[in-house]
Amino acid sequence: MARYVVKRLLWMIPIVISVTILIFTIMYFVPGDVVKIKLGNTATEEQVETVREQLGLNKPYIVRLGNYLSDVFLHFDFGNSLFDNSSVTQALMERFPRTFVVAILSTLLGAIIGTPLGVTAATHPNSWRDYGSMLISLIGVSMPGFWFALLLVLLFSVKLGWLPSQGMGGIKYFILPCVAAGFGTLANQARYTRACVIEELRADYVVTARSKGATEKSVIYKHALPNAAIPIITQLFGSLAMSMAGNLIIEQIFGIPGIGVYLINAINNRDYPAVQGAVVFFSLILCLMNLLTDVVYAYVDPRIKAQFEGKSRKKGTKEAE
Amino acid sequence: MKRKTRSFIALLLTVFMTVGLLAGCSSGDTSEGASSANTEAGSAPSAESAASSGNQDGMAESVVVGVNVDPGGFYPYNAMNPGSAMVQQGIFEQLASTDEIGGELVMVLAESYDLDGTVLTVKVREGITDSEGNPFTANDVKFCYELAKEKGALESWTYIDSIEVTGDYTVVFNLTEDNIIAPYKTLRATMFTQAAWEASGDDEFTLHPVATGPYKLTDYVSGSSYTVEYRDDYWGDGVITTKTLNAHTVKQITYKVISDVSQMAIALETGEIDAAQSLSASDYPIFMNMDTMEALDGYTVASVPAVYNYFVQFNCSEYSAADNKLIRQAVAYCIDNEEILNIVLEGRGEASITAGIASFMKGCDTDKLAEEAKTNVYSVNVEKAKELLAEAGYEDGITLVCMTNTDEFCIKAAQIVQAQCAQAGITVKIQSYDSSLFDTYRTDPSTGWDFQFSTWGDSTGYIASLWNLIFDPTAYGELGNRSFVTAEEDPEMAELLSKCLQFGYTTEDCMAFHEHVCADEVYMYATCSPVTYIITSDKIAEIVIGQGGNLAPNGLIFAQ
Repeated sequence: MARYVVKRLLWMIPIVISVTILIFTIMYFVPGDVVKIKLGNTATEEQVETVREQLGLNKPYIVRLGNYLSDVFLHFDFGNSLFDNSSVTQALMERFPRTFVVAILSTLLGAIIGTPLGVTAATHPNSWRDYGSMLISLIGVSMPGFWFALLLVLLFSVKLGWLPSQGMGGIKYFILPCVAAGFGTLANQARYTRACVIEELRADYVVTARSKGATEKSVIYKHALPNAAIPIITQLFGSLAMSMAGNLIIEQIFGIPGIGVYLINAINNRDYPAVQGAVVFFSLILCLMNLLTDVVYAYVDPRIKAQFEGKSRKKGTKEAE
Repeated sequence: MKRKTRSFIALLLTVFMTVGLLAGCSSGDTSEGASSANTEAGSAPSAESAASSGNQDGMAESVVVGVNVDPGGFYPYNAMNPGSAMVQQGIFEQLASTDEIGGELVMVLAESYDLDGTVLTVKVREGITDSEGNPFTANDVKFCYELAKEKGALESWTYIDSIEVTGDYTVVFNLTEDNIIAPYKTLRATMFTQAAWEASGDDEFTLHPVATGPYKLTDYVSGSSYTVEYRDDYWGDGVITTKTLNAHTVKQITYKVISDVSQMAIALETGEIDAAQSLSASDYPIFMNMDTMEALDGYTVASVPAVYNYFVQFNCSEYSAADNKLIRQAVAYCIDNEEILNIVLEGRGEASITAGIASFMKGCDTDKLAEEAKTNVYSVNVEKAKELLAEAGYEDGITLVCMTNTDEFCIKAAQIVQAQCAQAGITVKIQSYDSSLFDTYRTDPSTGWDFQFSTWGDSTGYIASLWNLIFDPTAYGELGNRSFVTAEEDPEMAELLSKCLQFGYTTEDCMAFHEHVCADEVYMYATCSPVTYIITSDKIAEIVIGQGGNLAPNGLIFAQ
């Protein structure tokens, strides 16, 4: 297992380097002048040229790319924002915890409510429970996140006055964003779980279990659900990874200064180091989340764990021979 | 039992969602409903909100202001945005500045100045210290100039040839030009001490600025909020009194960054913020009666005429068909300003006739310009437009590209102009770009646009200064001015502009220039200027507006 993890970690290096080169190249060719934004549109050509020179924007593409790769991969330094001169690495590190909290809480909410909802729907097909669960998930899938977020604000902030409508502070500031972000995950999770569990309940081994006299609870929770877990986990970690990359709309609506808002502002300002830094950071997170998903597979599904162990044992045996 | 529990949870969830949906859907009702909602909801967040007033010093305790843009740092020589303009007004000071839009210069860090031709001698006040106790002297003035020059940000310092420090508190500026703008801009440059800069360094200063203003930054969470607090050791207390520049009516000002406009309105409604700088016009009915334009109970409203106006600026270069004056005139004859004003701004504004707002800018006869508006030579005349097109050789019509940024007004106004021009056979294609691309393309005549919806502002308050910004024939170097007209191509324009900028200019000089660029040559065509509204809770009795048309939180007058 450890070998597998190390192998996957090594694979991440070329992936992240490729993403870095790609995003650097795209940003290099994107039209729009950061210096003119920085200095305002009343700046003279001479002033623009001076600042461009200072920021090193006049250097050739290959020199700038080389410098950037060296800074990122040798010093973990994403450079300074061209807009306000602040450290991009520091900005990402400051903002990531906020994005992380919303991502984790909203995904947890989605998993904790969505999975039982999906199981209930699957185990009671064509009943009111099934229809009720699927109605909720249909609403969650169909309703745009920003709209649901605004509804929550109108109800809980404007009408009832229970929760703040936006901003940063204690835990109560996270309730509405997490519910708004988690509703979509919940809906997807419920639908996915339902489909997977129904599929498993039709399998032969379930019939065998039932014929052997296993209780319905045992059939569902000991047999069907663990076997349905792999696609459910894939879906769940996929949602988590996407949320980790910054839930832009939720951050924007609720005034959460997370990575998503940082990236959008950076794009609008043509702040190349900030955009590049954020995208490379995302790629790192996505790679790590994929790795984590694979590791969780191994713990959930004994077949996968056995595969890893089998490979290791085979190698060990060969080496012994 | 467990099964029952599961069913119950599922049912509860369904009920919760349904109630949520119904509650949300029913909330977009009348202003009365919204107003009463404010009263109910106000209790919960009010403990965190502020604007408490009336203490022993006569200063309110705190106020929370909603801003739609994060300042992204506080370095004063970067381009301003609404988020930074308001807060910098309290942190930084200038040698002299204007206390309100178009107002006269008020001495702040400077005690006095003397202008002799191109030599500007400034006497700096003694006893000025920044929030770290560093004294401010003439050397700091020179340091700021050199730093701005090194960083390439010289907007306020454009007219300085050299600086000499002739005493601890005396500094002499040798200006490059003898005109009305040069001393004005020079005196309005933002200052701070060399010691403060050197103590913090380049990166730190932008996040933790130290300056001589009445407030100091105490907290900044990038993208979320920033707070300034009044300095008990402020040097200017009792020395100078102004309405906005060094005003300090509140001890603590917290700025909340709320980029979503609807959330800004909700935050004001729920009492999470006390004042909102920018609200969407569609949210005005929540806070004010749209017939009388007066505030509803619980709110205070101030109307703010924009310090800018929107105008059509033509690309007069060889790359565009608009280099033909007949085409420019044809477009001008198609545009109906009243229609744009009524549809886009719903009547909240005024039709314009020139670049800039003549009514509160110095240097032009307001009455004369108003009269000109009534007899605008380009009053709508589609038949005349068709004749001009035919004369230009486009009997079958012509296609022009209108470039706009993503400003809501510009896009809507462009669509109306598109419809108006279509009547004369001019097909207008609209291309909208984000501000970055727009600012890049507007400086390049070969990027395929024929006219743009443009807006320019100038902080001096002189209309001729704004004209200079737009029509200075060297603005884009060899390309000429911002309509791409060079002095060689139109020497009369350059000469008339020069006259407007001289000390002793006359109203006739200004009218002559206006007529030349707007009527004779049609380098631009002014449409209208909006009136916006700043809305606060009624904890604030009087809203005070700063020089740039922004709310001045440090000068707000609180209800007792």
